[in-house]
Amino acid sequence: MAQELWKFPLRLRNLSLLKTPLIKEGIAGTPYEVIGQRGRCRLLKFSPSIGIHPSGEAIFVTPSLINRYYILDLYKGCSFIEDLVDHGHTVYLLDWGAPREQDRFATLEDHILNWHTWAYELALTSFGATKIHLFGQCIGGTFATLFAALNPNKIKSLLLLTSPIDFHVEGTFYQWANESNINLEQMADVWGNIRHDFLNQTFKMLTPLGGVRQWQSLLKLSWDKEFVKKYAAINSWVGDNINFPGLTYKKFIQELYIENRLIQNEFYLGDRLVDLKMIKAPVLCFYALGDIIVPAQSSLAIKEYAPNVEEVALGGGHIGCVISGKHQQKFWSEVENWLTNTREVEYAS
Amino acid sequence: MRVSLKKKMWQRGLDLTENTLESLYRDKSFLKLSSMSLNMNLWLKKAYGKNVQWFLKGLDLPNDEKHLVLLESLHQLESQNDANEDRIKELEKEIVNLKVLIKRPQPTSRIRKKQTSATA
Repeated sequence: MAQELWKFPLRLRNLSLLKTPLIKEGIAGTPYEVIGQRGRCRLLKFSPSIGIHPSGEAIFVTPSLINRYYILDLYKGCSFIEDLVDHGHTVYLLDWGAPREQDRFATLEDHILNWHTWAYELALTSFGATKIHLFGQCIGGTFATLFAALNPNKIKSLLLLTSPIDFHVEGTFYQWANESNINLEQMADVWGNIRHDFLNQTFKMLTPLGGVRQWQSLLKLSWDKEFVKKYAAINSWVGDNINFPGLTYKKFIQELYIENRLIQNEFYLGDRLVDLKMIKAPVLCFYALGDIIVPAQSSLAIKEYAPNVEEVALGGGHIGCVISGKHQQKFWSEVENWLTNTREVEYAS
Repeated sequence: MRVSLKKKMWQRGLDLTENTLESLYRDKSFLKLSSMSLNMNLWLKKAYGKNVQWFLKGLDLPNDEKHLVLLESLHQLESQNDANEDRIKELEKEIVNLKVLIKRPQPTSRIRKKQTSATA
C-alpha cells in the first residue's frame, strides 16, 4: 500500500485533467485540406509533411457510417492516418458527416453510387492516377467492397479492416437481426434517421458491463497520463455518435444482415448487380481475434470470391485492434509492407 | 479479508453479472419482448406523435382514452404477429365498445343540462 503512495498526486492530477478540455486537445489532429464537398459529405486530403519524401502511393479511406471517422486519427502517436502520411503516402478520406433531417431519404445507392463514386473520382483526379489503393473499416469496408466490385479497374488494391462480408456467421448481431422482430420500415418511417442512442445502446448490450470495466481500468491506471489521455480520446469518440440514414439502414439490415444477399450474388444497387467475383485487385483482409461485432469468418468470406486475398489476424477486438498500442503497430506495419510490396510488384511487371 | 481476495470476489461478481446479462440479451423471449416493445413505441409515436413513456405517464388523457390507445396498439401488434383470429376479433369488439363509451355524454354534463332546462 505504501509503495502506491507516490501515485496518489499523479492520480489526482490526471483525473482532474479529465474534466478539462485540455485533455481532448489534438484529437483528430492530423492536418488536412477539404478538397470537395457534396451534400453532407466531405473529401479530406492528408498530404505528407514538408521534408517527408512522397512515396508516390495514395490510399482512399472509406470509414464506417456508424461513427465518426477519427477513430483512424485519434491523436498524435495513435493515428493510422498520421502513420500513413509519415511514410510519405497521400491519404484521401471520405468523411460521411452527420446525417441531417433530409438524409433520412438517402439510400445505400446514394452513398455508394453517388457520394463514394464522386469522392473516389475526385481523389483520382487530385492524385493524377487512374487507380489507387482503397481501404475500408467496418461497414466502410463493406461499402468499399461494393464499390470495388462495381469499379474493378479503378482499384489498385483493396484493404479491409474488420469488415463484414458474410452476414450469417454466428454472432450476436446476426442473432439480433434474425431473431428479433423489429419493424424496420416503421423504424425508418417514424425516426427518419436511426437514432444514435439506439445504436449506441445496441453496442453497449454486446458487453453489458463494459462501462464498469472501463471505470475499473481508469481507477487502476489513472496515475499514467498517457492512459488517461487515451481514455479521454476514446470516450470522446464513443460519445460523439451520429444518426444512421433511415433508408440506408433499412436496406443494409434487411438485404445484408437478414437476407445475406451479397455472398449469394443477389445484391443490387439500383439496377446494378454487385458481383464480388468482379474484384480482381489484390485484397488484404484484417480481422481481429477478439472481435464480437464482426466475427473473423464474416470478414474472411471475401476469400471465396476475390482471387488474391492475403489475411492478417490482429489481436484485440473490433476497436482495440486499431487503438491498442501493441495491436496497432502490427496493423500499421502490415499495411506499410503491403503498400511497398504492391509497388514493387507493379514496377517488376 | 485480504485485499487480493476482495479483488477476486469483485472480479468474479462482475463476470457472473456480465454472463447473466449476456445470456439474457441473447434469449429468444427477451428479443421478442424487447422488439415488441420497440415496435409498440414506434407505432404509438407514429399514430400519436408521442412516445410510449408519455402514454404510460398518461397525464393528458382520461382513463378510457388511455385504455383505447393501448387496445389499438395491441390490436396492431397482434395483427402483425399473426395472432389467432378470435383474439383479434375480441380486441376489435373491445375497441368498438370503448369508442362508444368515450363518445357517450358524461354524467356531469347531463346533470348540468337538466338543471339549465329546469331553470328555463
